[in-house]
Amino acid sequence: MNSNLVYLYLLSPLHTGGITQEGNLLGIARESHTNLPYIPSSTIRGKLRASVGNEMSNRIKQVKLFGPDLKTDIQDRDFVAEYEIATGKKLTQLEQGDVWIGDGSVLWLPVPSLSHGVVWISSPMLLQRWARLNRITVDIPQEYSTNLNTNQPVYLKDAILKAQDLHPGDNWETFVPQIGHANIRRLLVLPDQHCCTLIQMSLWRQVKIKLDEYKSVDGGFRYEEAIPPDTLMYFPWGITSQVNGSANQSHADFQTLMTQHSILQIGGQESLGRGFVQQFIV
Amino acid sequence: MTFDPRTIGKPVYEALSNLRSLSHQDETRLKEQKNQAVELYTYLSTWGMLRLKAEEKALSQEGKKQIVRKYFECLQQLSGINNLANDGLNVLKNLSTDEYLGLTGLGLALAQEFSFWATAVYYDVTGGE
Repeated sequence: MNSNLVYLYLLSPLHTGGITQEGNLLGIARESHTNLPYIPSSTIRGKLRASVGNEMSNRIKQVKLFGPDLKTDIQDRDFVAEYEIATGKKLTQLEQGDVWIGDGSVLWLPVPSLSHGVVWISSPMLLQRWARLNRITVDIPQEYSTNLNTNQPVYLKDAILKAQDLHPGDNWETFVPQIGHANIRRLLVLPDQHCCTLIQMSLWRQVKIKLDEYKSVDGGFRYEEAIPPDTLMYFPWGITSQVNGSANQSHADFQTLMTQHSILQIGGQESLGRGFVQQFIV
Repeated sequence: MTFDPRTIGKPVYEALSNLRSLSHQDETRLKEQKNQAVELYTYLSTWGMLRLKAEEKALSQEGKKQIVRKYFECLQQLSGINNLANDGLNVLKNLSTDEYLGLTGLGLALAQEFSFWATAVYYDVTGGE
C-alpha cells in the first residue's frame, strides 16, 4: 500500500453520524475495533468530490479522480461525449476513480487539564498506526512520556498523573505535524486503554432541548457528541491499483485540489458551524 | 467458555427489571428511574466516576437514587472490586490512577447498557423530567 497523508486540524466540533442512538444520545461514527471516533472515508471522499467544481473540465477531473455518478455523469450524454474526447475512455458504468481515500483517524486530541489548561493526548497504538501509514520507522514514545515538566503532576480531567510516573520524551516534532492554526504544544502519551477512556470523556457534548409552542421544554434533554475542536486527525490517500499511465497526473490533480481547499467542512450540522477543518499536507 | 456477549447486558437487564417491578411505585418514580438510567452515560463521561457515586447521596429523588445504587452494584459485580456499592466513595478515592481510569472505561460501557435497557424495560413510561 503506497499511501500519503493529509492532516486535518479541527477548527470546530466535528459530528459524523454514528450508529449509536441509545437513550438520549446522538453518537458519532466510531471504529469498531477501538471504539474511538473517526471520520469515515466516504464522508471525506464525498466532500472532496463535491469540492472539485461544476465546469466541464472540472467534472472530467472529478470523474477521473473519484469515479462517475450514475445520474449526473453516466446519464448525461453531453458529458459522456466530452469525457470520451478528453480521455479517450468510454464511460458506461459505475467504476472507481484513480484515487483512494482512507478513514480519518485521531492523532492528538485535546483534554482539559487544571494544571496545564489543555493537554493533547495520544497513545502508542495511535502513534504506531500513524507511523505505519506515514511509512516512517521511528521509536514510538513510551507510555506516560511527555514534553511537560516531569517534576510536577499533571491534572488531567478526572485523574492526577503523579510526577514520578511521567517520563520526559524527545523528538516530539516528528509526531506533531503543525501548520497554520495548529498550535499543539503540551503533549502526553497515555497507555492505549486510558487514552481511549480519556478521549471518550473529552468528546464535545452538547445538551439540546426541544421547545413546545408555549416555549416550555418538550420532553427531556438530549445530547449530541462531536470530536472536539483543536483535535489533530489525518487520513491516508493514494492511487488505486487499476490506474494505468495517468497515476502522476491524478496524483498532481489531487494535491492541487487539496491546495485549493485549505478549509473544508466535513460531517453534519454545517449550519451550526460544525465540521470546519484546516487541512494540510506536510 | 468464558466469553459471553451477555456479560454486561445481563446484570443491567436484571437490575432494571427488578427495580421496575417493585411494588408501590407511582408514575413519577418510574419516570425518574428511566430518565436517570438514560442520563448515566452523559453524566459519567462529563463528570467522572467519583461524582457519580456522590450523586447517590446528593440526589433527592428516590427513583434516581435507586438507579445510581443499582449502577454501582452492577459495576461491583462486573469489576470484582469489593465494597464499591456500599463504601464506594472511599474505595474510588483510594484506587490508583490506573485502576480508576480502567474502572471508568468499564463504567462507561456499563452506563451505555443502562441507557439501552432503560428504553426497553421502561418502554411504556414516557415524558421527560
